[in-house]
Amino acid sequence: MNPTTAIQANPPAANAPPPPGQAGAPIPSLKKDRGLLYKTLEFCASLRITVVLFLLSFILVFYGTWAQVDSGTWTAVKEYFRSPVVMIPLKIVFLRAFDIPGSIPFPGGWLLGGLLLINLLAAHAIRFKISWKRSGILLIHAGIILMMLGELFTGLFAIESRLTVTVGNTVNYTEEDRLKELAISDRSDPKVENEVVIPASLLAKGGLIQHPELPFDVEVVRYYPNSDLRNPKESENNPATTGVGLTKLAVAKGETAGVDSEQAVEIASVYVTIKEKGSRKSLGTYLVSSWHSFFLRPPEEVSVDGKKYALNLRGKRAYRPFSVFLKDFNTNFHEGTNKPKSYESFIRLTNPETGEDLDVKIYMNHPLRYGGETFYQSGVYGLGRGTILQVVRNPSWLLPYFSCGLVTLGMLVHFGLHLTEFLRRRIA
Amino acid sequence: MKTLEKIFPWGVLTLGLLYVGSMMFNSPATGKKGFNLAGYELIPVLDGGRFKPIGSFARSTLTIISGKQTFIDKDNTRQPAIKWLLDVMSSFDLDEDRASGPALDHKVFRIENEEVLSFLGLEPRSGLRYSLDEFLPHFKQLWERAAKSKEKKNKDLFETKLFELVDHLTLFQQVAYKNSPATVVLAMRGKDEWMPLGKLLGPDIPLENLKQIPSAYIHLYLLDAYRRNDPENFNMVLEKAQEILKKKVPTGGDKIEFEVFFNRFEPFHQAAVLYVFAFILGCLSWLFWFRSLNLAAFLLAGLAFAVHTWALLARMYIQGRPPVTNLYSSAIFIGWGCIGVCLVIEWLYRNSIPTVVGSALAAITAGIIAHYLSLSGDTMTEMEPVLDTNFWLATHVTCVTLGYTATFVAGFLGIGYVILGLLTPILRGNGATLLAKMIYGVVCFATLLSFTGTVLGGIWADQSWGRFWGWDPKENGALLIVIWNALFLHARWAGLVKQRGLAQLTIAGNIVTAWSWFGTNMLGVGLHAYGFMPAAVTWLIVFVITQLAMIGLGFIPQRFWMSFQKEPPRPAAPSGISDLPRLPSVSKTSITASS
Repeated sequence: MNPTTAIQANPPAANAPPPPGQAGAPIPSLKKDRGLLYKTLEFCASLRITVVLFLLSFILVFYGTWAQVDSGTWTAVKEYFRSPVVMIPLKIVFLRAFDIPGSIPFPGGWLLGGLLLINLLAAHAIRFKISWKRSGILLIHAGIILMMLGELFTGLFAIESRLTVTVGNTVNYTEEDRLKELAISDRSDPKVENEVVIPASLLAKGGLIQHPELPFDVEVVRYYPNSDLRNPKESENNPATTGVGLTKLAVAKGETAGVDSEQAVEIASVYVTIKEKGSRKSLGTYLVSSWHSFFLRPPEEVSVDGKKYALNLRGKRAYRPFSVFLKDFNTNFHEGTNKPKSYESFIRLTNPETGEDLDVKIYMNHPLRYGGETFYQSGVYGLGRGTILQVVRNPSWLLPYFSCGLVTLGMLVHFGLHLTEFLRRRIA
Repeated sequence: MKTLEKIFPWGVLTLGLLYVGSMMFNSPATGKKGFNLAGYELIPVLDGGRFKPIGSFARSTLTIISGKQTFIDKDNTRQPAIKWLLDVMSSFDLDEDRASGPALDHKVFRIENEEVLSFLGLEPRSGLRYSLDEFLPHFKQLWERAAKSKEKKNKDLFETKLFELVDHLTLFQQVAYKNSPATVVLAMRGKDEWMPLGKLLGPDIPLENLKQIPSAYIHLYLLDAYRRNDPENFNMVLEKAQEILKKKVPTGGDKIEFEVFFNRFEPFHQAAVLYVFAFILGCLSWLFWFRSLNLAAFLLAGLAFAVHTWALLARMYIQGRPPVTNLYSSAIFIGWGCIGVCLVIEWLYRNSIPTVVGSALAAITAGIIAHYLSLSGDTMTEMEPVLDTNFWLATHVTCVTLGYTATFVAGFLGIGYVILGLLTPILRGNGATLLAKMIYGVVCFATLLSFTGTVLGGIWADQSWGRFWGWDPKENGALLIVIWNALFLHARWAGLVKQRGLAQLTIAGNIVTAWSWFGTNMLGVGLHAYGFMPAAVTWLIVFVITQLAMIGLGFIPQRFWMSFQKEPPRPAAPSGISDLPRLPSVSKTSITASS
């Protein structure tokens, strides 16, 4: 056994392409044109850059996690992972040990993902030959590209909403959690309900909102994206002048942190002064809160020109061509405890346009896929009186499945080859 | 090899087997003058959503309150948990409104905080366990003080520890009033309903009617016989009770009996002891008698692994679930995986390093960490709805946990590289390269397992709530491990770091894995403005510091490392060098970065 004769006299440099004529050499045209393009590609393909990008991604994911101690997951995701640059507060950099003001810029998820993609593609253009030996790595990288694209498309196109319905009732709309709106509904016609909605972004800006479609002018006194309701104290200044706002006071509440074990939904409240169009006469300042629909209270009403309008602060609503009727809802408990074991929703989905009439059971880990959307058992409403279904539209939902298959297969091939090499050498 | 050396490993194995055997046939608890406590342990009850022997309930309840499954009574004798339970349950007679009896004198309440101790007029003592009688005079003040800070969100250390004691006292009360566990089974609305005896006691239900229900009668009689100190009748009724109650358990009575056996055997404790000895033998093998001690360590670790495997399977049988369902079972499983991987590597390389590393890891995770995780009660509780799926528990959770395991093994092999290279001559010649190869192989596995595991988690999330990846702390933790392992592989291929740097990278991987396993859980809990942290956070920080220290040691220039000295070292140990591990020869191929 000569242990050391296998050392090659001149081991090839790490990044040098194999000599021309050998199987898998880069395309001759590229090699001839060793100009700026090739040199740039060579630089972009550098394995060192890969390692640096991995390190930066590591740091980003780490701090993007810490950011969720104070802010919600959604906000942290938007700022850290679905943006090109993020300003990381120094407080987070030092892991919340010191409360230092200021922040430092850092590449965000989209920038790092983009750079990794360029690095990967350049590496494949320059270095990798298509061969059996490399097939594993090709599969792995192809899968990872798909996965990163999947996350990009999800960030751009996915819409998550929820459908809440009580037993024995029908609902034909979904509401988004994170986008909110103030809805003004005219229910005078029993067949048709006319709604005008003011998106929360306008409410957050504050001030006077006027629009020809609105039956009256709306002046925003105060808007709280997340709020609590409590009994007002004697001394407190209550902005409301009429309605339920006289008996309950809304107070601001911080964002639900991403690390809270109870991921509470944010419940918004707004104080609005309703003013008659033209005369600008105030018809009262109302407290409109999502807490009211949470507690199934009837909405606040304003009368203008003899018509009654309902005021509702709710998640952005989308009316659907189909309706969902909740036949029954079951909570199964672990024997002898109050701990829920599973939830089951028995629904009937009807679509007058297509004539579909489906009886479906939706329960944990068993969603319904319909109309390009997926309906999941999300939670319980009102202690079992109803169900909350999560509805997700994500056209790229299959991408992660393909990519995972590719990467796992690639890893098995690549590491499997390594392993058999290793074992063969040991036996020899 | 001399004869003694040849038979030594087998002698060690025999001793190990005897030890395990003796624990298996551990004489069951016999207590107060002839009461068949062993038999009483077998009584089935319903608690926390699962059917279990009352012995398990006794053990887990006492563990919550006291941190141990045994206690010291008035006469300074060590007694089993089942005796404590009977004492507590019989401490409130039906007519009396006060507690009485030996339960009040049992030193079971563990109070560690000095402020709480002085609040209750107690002096610190070794063990820090106190009986109810000792702080009964301050009872009222205790409840009042607790009620005052009940609604506070950010409690300080004193208040938190006070509440811990209040929680334990509440648990005690529940057992004393027989409101827990559910021992009585009634036929209601066509099916059997289990409920605690305490729920049926009271002015509304006449005692005579209660006695018509077989299970209620049994328990009332048993407690009464125990109180009256009547072992004969106790044992007699107990025998009949077994037959009647066993039939009422829906899952069948066999699991109950098996669980009692499992509890008595304490297999994880036995395995941990064996791991410690295997570790010691493995280290000694580098000093003398290499072949003999190497084999002895390997056999002992193998025996421990067999016991450990049996214990895992036993838990799976009892629970009807895949091996990892909560933090405790993840610790047990990681320990098992570590030693399993290391035994395979040891079999391939035979230089004691894997045995030593694996035994250390197994003893730490399945021994120490698991012990601390078991202090919060029953380790086999039922789970929340989203986890109620054996398929995903078996695939995603197992895979991710194995990913943790492999990353830890690589990391501890990395520590081995630094320590052995710096302080011993073991890595001379081929040794360092071999160890580096081991590390590389394990990291490959770690990458595959952690990636697949993480991705399976994403698929589960997609099936459950429509979102493959949510960037939440736990998911991010898993992703960090994948990125770190990938970073290692790419840095190696790029030739950016050599053996020593790669070892340091894997040690950093230990930090990443510890963060993912524990750190992410602590984010919402441990970090408040009051300056104190739960013990777990402190331990995590200590662990991180030790790993950073190892990485720091690695930076000492290699020319100072004992294994890389240019001149042969002067014989430091009297008999070690000539008997150094004979490492197998390896055909060495220089690896290029890529292509």
